[in-house]
Amino acid sequence: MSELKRTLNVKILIIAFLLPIFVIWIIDSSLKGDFSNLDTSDSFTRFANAILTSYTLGSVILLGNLFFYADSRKRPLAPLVGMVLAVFIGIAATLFLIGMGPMLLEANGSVRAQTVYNIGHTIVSFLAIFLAISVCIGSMFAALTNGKKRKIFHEEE
Amino acid sequence: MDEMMNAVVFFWLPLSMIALGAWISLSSKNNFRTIIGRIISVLGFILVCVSPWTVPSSPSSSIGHLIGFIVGPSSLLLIGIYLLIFSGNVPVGKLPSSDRKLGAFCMILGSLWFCLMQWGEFTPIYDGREVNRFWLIFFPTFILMICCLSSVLSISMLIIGEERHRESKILRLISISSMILIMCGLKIDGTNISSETFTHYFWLSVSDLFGILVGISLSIFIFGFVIYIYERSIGDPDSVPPPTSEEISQASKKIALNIGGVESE
Repeated sequence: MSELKRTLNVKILIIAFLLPIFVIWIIDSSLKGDFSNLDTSDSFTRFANAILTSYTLGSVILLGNLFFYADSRKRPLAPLVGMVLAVFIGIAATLFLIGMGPMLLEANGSVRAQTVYNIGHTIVSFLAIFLAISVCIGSMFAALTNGKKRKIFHEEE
Repeated sequence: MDEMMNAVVFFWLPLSMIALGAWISLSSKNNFRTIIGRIISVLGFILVCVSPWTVPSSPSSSIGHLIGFIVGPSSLLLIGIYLLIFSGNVPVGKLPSSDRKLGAFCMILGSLWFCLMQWGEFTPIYDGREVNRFWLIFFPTFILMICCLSSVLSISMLIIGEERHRESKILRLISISSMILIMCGLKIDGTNISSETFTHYFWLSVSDLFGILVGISLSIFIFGFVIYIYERSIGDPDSVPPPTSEEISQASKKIALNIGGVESE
């Protein structure tokens, strides 16, 4: 596959991911007659909290993954230190930005309450995403295996 | 024990036990440690599910409450998918074709159960007063992700696969069905959840989904960068000296001993 075609395919897939959201937005706005359903302030707060928390949780998971990497590399310390630093940067940025004021607080009174809520929220979102991925990929395989039996190689005549 | 300590001991510790158990189970090659890891995970899962009773005062325990509520329909969906996949044309572990109907039934029942939780009387009500706020996060994220991902898979079937129009159509149907469900949530009030509440949480879940995608991508990028920097710093491995004539003759003997048999016609 040429580089150009591959880039084009990736763009098509990104559009396919975003298209349902735009369609829902257009239909919903048309039915309700305005665009006011989208609260940009709340949405930005949630977006920023989601980035910070998922970055930190993702880094912690990948830090655990480094042990598998270390097994094949005589247990080096340098990547471990690098990743621990990345996790600490995530935690520090989360605490600093939440502590700055009401910008990232979502109906929670303190930094601690918001941090705990963020972790809980991200865990629930991860659960929903993993279940949805299992359902979609499972449905794809179910559709593939329940179709007509196909020949992989052409038989010699 | 104060409230915070209770939450740590009865909720956050069991929650970390699930992750720890999974990590031990996946990372060890020895059977005994794998079993221990699984036991730790199951124990953590049970303790998280009973957290609404062990720490009713903590807001975190509503996650345990939600997990308890979604275990049933989620298991039905996963069992249904398993039965549907393995009752088809698979080379190993094939199930009888009658299981296909059972799988479809489980899928329909699981989906119906989720719908009843959103619009009917099965909504997770925490502490007998209000709708569990984590359900308001879970359901829109779940249905939105199904809608977007099945749309991506439907297109990828056409781009990557050959003559996969039927499979692409099925995935498109799933995407459209979930889109209709989202529209129903945005327009139709449920017994316990109004369409306004759903609308608010739905758009928050869109922001949440994009935030999670950006955050996870960033952490993967940092991980790759750390590995890249380390690998670049260690330099090229020492090159191995070429084999001696003695080693070459020994290798030739071994190869000659192992080559043979009847030629295929």
